Amino acid sequence: MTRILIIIVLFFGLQVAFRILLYDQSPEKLIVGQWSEDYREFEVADEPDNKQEGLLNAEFTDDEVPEIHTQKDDVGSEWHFLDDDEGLIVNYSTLSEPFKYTIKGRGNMLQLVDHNGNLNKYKIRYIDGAEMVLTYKTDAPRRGIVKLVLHRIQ
Amino acid sequence: MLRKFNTTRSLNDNIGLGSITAFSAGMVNVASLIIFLAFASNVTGHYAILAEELSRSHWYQTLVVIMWIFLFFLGSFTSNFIVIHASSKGRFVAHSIPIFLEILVLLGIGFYCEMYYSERLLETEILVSATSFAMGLQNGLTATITNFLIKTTHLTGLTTDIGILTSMLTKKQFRRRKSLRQRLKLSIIIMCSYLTGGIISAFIVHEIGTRVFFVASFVLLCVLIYDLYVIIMRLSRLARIQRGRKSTDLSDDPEFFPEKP
Repeated sequence: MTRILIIIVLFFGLQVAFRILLYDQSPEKLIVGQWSEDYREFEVADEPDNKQEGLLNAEFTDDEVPEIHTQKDDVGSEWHFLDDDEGLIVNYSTLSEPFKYTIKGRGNMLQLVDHNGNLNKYKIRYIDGAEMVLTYKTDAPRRGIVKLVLHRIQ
Repeated sequence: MLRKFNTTRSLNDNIGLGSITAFSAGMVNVASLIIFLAFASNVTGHYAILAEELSRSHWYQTLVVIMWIFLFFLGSFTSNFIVIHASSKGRFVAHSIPIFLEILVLLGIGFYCEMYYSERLLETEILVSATSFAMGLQNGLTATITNFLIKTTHLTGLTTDIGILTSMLTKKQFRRRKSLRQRLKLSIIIMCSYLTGGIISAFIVHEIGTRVFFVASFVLLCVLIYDLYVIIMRLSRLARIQRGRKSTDLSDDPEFFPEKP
């Protein structure tokens, strides 16, 4: 038993040491700051069965139909991630919306909860000091995975 | 369920142990997925993620995944270590310590989540490590005492077994073999128990939150209570027989007395 305890203590000790060394790379640390949304697009999507029918094509102009995977709405919002549990403020063109945010998993999942308690889950595909790529699943206007690319505002 | 070892175990012993521990594992895994957004015992997936994170030079995430895999390994190691080193104290004691440890770990997770958890990333990673350790303990124990027949925390091997066994049952000569039918029955019961535990966990986690870990601990506690009950009943029965005969020699019974070196 003593040997097992020594192994556990040693392992956790090494973990803590490495964590301290890698602290700056923690997604929780990296995400704090102001980000601007560059673009969002469908990374994966079901193609509409009939392009003449209703909602599936309603989001796109005639010029955009060939580039069916690109949705240009909502682009340009600013995401301000605050430190110490102060939450996230998303500034759209006309209004601001506060969220509570948490990062979970291995630092690859971002959870946003709005003031009504609605939960939104994003996958953090990539994050560094300059760029963040998020993805989320959607059912509307069509089923698929949407990719958001944000860059840090210096 | 915990009193017997390897070949002395009956189908019912394995069904009892497999179904209850799989139910608990299903609860823990789904709770971990919903609360921490990470699997507790998806070791194959962890290896795939490790490879991906390494290839992308994400050192922080790589370290986290290594920690999860290592804690699962350590849990399994600890279980077997206890079983083989504590066998001199009697089989029930040796087999129940890992389950008892697992209960303590799950209670600890539940207690920490209730009292202190503020959803910080480091906390989440350590709590997932703890659930991985608990699942490793459980998997190590069930595999050790059933001669690698039962593994209850992830179902890759089990689904493979079910596939192979159902395929074998397509031939008449294999259908006649009782051992194959029994093994298929055991595998299906474990799979259903895991799934049921997971579904119940998914429902109740929205109602009781992280207290779901207390429920999973209680389920495991039932294994210990059942075996203790059986032992007490047998001891009292033997005591009655002993009083009747006044000369019954119980020193050869391995369930109650340590194995002699």
